[in-house]
Amino acid sequence: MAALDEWWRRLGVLARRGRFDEDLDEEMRLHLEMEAQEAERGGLPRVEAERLAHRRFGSRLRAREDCLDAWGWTALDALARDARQALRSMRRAPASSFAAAASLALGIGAATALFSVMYALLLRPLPVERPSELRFLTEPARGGGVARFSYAAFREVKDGAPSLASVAAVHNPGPGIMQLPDGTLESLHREWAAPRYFATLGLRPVLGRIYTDEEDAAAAGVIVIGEKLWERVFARSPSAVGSVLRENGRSYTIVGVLPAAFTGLAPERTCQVWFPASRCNAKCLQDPGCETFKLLVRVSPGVSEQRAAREADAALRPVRFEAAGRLAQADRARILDRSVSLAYAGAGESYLGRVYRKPLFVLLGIVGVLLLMMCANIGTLLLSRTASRSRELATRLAMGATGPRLALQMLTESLVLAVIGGAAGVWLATYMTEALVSHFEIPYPARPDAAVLGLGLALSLAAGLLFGISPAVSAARSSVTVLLRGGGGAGRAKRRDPARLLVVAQVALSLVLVAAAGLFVSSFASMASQEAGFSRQRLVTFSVATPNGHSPSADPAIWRLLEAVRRRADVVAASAASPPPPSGGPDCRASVQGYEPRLPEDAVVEVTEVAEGFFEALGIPLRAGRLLEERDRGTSRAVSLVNETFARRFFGGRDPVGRDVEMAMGAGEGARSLGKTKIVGVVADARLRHPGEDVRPSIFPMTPYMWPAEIVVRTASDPDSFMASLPRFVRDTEPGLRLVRARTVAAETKRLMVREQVLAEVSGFFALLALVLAAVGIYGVVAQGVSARTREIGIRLALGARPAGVRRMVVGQALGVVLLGLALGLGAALAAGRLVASLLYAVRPSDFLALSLAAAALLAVALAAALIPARRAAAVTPLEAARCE
Amino acid sequence: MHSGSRDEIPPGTLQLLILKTLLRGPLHGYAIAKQIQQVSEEALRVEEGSLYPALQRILRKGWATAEWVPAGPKRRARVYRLTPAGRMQLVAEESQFRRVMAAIMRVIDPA
Repeated sequence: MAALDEWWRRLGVLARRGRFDEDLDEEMRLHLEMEAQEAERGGLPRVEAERLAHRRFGSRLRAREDCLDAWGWTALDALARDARQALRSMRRAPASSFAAAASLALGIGAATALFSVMYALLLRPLPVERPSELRFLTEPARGGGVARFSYAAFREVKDGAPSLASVAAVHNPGPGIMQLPDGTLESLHREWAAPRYFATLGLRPVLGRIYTDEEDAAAAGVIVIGEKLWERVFARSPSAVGSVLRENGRSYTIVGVLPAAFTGLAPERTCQVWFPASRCNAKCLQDPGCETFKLLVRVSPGVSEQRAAREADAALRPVRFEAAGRLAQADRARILDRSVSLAYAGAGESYLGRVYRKPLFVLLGIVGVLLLMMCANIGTLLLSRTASRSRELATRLAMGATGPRLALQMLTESLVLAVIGGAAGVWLATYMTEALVSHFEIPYPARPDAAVLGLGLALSLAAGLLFGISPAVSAARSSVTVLLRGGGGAGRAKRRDPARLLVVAQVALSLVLVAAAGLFVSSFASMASQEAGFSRQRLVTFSVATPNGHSPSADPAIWRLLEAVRRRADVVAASAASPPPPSGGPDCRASVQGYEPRLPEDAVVEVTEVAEGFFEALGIPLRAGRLLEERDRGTSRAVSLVNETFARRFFGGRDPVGRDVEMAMGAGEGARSLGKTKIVGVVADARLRHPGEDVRPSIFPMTPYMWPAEIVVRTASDPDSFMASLPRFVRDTEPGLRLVRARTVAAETKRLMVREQVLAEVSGFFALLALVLAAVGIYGVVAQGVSARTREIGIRLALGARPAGVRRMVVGQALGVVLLGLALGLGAALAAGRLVASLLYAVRPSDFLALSLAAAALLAVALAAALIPARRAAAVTPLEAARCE
Repeated sequence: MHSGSRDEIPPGTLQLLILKTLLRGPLHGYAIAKQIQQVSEEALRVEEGSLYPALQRILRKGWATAEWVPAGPKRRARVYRLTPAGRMQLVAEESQFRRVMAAIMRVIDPA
């Protein structure tokens, strides 16, 4: 343990740093005294003796340094000294130091905030055992995230692929309404998982047990809940095991509680209830065409992933054959050609992550560019500060510092500034993350992460190095004579002046950011202003359920409730729809006599079941035939309305009213017929779903049995007061029903466009920042140039030059720099535009208008920034000029 | 006092000399230097500027400890004392030095 002892001693010296120097001084002083005494005793006079002793000893300072070196702390000592020096010089120029640190804090804060959202959605490993080894089985040919498999496929892979150490099946159907033991209804996130799901993840219950394979096979009503739910509802009482939750009329007994850290595979869905796989209906479990489950696997140690994938492929073959056999000939190849691969599952699978992946990367890129601009800005600032410290640097050089040593000192100053700015930035990031998440209503699981903090630190150090390089290099190259002559500032501004280059870079980067923001903003604007075909104002939808969690569809209580809603004074019109806008209905195949679809996709239509009064409530006009009426509800024959696109597609120019349509779900032999329906009218096209989507052929049947419907209401005035009154209203009117959820169509639609909104607003904000930075950068460089040439300007003015001429000269030179930056930026902006083309809506990346507006904005800002010092230059008096230098 | 030309101590051996000197008993810095000079019969001159760094290195390695001892009115001296580890180091360095010296002698004076 000698090494440990040595470290201990070294730390001791470091801790008592101050005493170290004092003690050494005392020791060496004693040595000198004794040396001098001896010399005196030898006959030399006192003074001579002392001088001899000093000479013999040599440089005490040197000795002291060497002693410290013996302990190995020299580097640290130098660093500490430089850091103290850095703080001192920052205090001497408080305004610019604060500006630099503040802008750095903003930039690093934004980058850290964005990265923490990205980390939570895409990268954070699941709180399970060895998450990096988890994989999803997926079929890349299918696209759209991780593939889903039938239960039959799960069984085959489980038994038939020995190189997979464990295979688990899980399904996330989204939130469902459950009734708690005390009777309240709550919407809870759920997962349906086979028992080995928990073993695969290495999860052990904190209370009770996991349900067994036997219970799953018997479709027993057992569930496992999460620790957070256990705390909230059962106050951590052990009696939770054995308690019952009800869903859709069925009772489920809790058998165990999972640890709080785990909330399912999707970070944005805090899953608290887990059902056995048998929760899926029995028919689906047998049907190899019913693809519901995601397969989570672990590969056996020592086996390659390719081999595991091949084995899984082979195991799936019989299932694929069966599924393909049910399809039409044309579709079979699609299924048989699939092949399996393994996808990383350590971070779970997030729907939000998939949606936000590209926008987050784009925003991160934008922030990166902004950070570069900030570094350029701060670099210019530090460069100009170095120029004004020429005297100080010259003194240091004269006292024995070397060029590299000065460079290191400058670099340390930059790093200290960077660390201060970075620390402030990381602190800011926590607030920025909250603001980002709440403003855009992202269900973000907010948790501080070591990875995020690490990034913040790394960014600040990198920034410090980046903007510290130019002052360091210029300091290293300095020589005493040049400095004393005041060579840092006087004379013509050199052509290759690093400050000018930095400004060119800033202008170019700024153009890229402003142009990108322009593209995203116009994209969002055109999407939001799309003709919807109906009015979204004051439109509310709400859903109800029976107290035991049952969502009634054919219940007469729903119709009574609808009548009661219609009678309210604050309601203009009310109806019901399944599903209501802006959700889209499922796809079905329609077939009409006399129409042969060219491609199978041509026969696909969207189905939305509606009650009477739906189109009146939404304000969609009728084009032919008649609208649905209450009397249609009782008939055994279904009647429907279709939209214009449907009529055009299936009937050409002929009248669709009175014709029959056959509907089916699925295709080929496995298709499920939904029966026949008669068209009684045609309504105008409307974008009921996402504002940016094209209108699809849609059919609106009024069937006796509606799938769980929501009531759609157009209120007379403020929808919020209507929604506030709903819970009591529902309970009073129909005691057998409870309100589950109420929302406005406008708010839901806005939520659909959140991705475009995020891009537009955040990039817009950064573009404004970029403009400010560019302006500050240009101002700084022009002002510097003017003050350096004060003498020259004074002479010109004295010789008769006009102030306007001087202004023109100054601005003109600035303009040269700006135009160069714009030219470079244009190319970069076009290239960047092509990268983000997939995120734009109805806007081309090379949009001439956006680019020219961006360039014009930048030019205007640059001219304004250059004008201020130019005016000052023109007002220089000869006295000032003469006094200078 | 001899003022005959003194040779410089070859690099790397100062440590050995200090350790050997401390073997006899604890001493302070000036006394160590004087001791080395005397015992070598004035042939070796200790560079004061290299004495103290060497002492610090010895302290770092734990081969000696130091403590302040009063040395007259209002003065104190830092006295160094060899540790058992230092004793072992001395033995090792001494034998290494002898080996190297013997080898050098064989080259210079092949007999």
